[in-house]
Amino acid sequence: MFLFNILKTRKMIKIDIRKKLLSSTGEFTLNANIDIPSGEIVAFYGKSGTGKTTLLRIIAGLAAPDEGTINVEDNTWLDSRNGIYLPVEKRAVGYVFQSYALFPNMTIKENILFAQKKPDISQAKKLMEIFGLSSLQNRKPAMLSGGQQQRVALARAIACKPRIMLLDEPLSALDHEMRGSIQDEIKFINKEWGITTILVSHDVSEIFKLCTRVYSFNESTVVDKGNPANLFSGNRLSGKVQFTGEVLASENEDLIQILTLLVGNTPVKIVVPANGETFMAGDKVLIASKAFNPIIQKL
Amino acid sequence: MKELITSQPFLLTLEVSVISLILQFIIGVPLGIYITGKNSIFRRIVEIIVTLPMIFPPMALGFFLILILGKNGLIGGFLYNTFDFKIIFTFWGVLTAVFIVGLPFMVKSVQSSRKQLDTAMVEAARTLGKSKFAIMRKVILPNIRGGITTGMLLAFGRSLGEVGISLMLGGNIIGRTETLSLAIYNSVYEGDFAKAAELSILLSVLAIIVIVISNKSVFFKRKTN
Repeated sequence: MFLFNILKTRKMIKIDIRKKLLSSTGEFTLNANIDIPSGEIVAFYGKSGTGKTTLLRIIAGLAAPDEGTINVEDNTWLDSRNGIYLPVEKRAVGYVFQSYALFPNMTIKENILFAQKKPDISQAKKLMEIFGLSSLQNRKPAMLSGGQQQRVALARAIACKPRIMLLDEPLSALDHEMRGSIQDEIKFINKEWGITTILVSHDVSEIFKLCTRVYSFNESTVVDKGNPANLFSGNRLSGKVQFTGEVLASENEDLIQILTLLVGNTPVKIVVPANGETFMAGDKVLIASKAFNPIIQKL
Repeated sequence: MKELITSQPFLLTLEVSVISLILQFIIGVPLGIYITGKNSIFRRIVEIIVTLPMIFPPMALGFFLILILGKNGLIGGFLYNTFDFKIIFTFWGVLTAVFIVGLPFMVKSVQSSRKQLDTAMVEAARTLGKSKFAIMRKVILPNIRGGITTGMLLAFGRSLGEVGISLMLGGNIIGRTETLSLAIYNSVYEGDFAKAAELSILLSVLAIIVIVISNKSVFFKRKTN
């Protein structure tokens, strides 16, 4: 009963939309009917051209679906049957674009102040502190590195006090170290302000690290896969130790295949028999072992 | 030299070029931004009309404008009958000519820099809850400043050298509607080569100043971007 009450009072972002899209293989209808729990970080995962960014844009109000509804907690943002369409300006979303889309004519501080409803210097200062931008506040975006620009984009998106943060592959252009630290910052923001965060990502380790839930995009449908472990490890194997990784390179040597894998941020080499499954660079793989006990040491 | 600078053709040229530059700025910037918007038939028609003077033969265009703006024309007739206002063969005729030939340079320059602007930047401003007016003032206009400056300089340069339509609409009346370019023609026609040379040098100096400022503005644009 207690659990039932929790479930009942749990606030949700309910999305139920359909939109015709064009992909490289032809026309398809994106059909998304998902509930996203408020306050969590969730991921949209799937191949390119399956509508992840489009759905993000529909939530933001930058694109319109052919039909459907979007309810954010107690508010209706979209209801095509009843002609309700809350314009993007009124939706209170913090959108972080792949290209960052900073305003080049403004300094970092001005970018953040412009995003606020009313100029609030103390909030701007706090944001710049969190993202390590204080010493760069009077610089223009063109003078910053990719990672710094990304931090400004995040700080600017939060400055407008959004109800939902929408991040479109925010870390794809950054190196692993930079990714790691910005991922920590995204997690910190989510904890600090409890803003629901939807992230489009291809990076399995990133999804594992940040997200509590993952929505898988296949051609035309979006499926709630629950916890990231459900999607990436599956129930195919019950190993004692499991990792997911990506194949960086594979070399064939007589009877064996040497795979260079990226597990988390670390590349590792693994030898597999050549007559088994063939692996190509870019394949997502699961590494599991159940025959021995792993040695775990603190570093 | 002092005589030249205080002469009627120089003052008229400067006056119409500056006034038309202000008008080209006021009308050209919104037009350039407008025609960059979502593709529609009306937008394409506006774009064609505005761009027409760039490629249309000036004499032919001048002739059509006489038909429209003359005392018996659609617009000219209305202005003459209602306000007793004449365009053809007056200062206003020269101003109209100079304005029309320079406008496409302004509009095209604004259009191309608006097109180059990252659409995500405008979308980002919208997600931040900003009004259309605020986006225009704080995001779009400051970021197409380079295009506006280039457009103004090109339009001004074109205005200085305008002959064809000015001749048709202004009438080349000495002491009234004679611009610098027409004054050069008149001097050569009268055999006063010395005066033609002086006027040509003056006009060239003005053009060189425009080129120098234009190059500086391009350099400035590069630095800020």
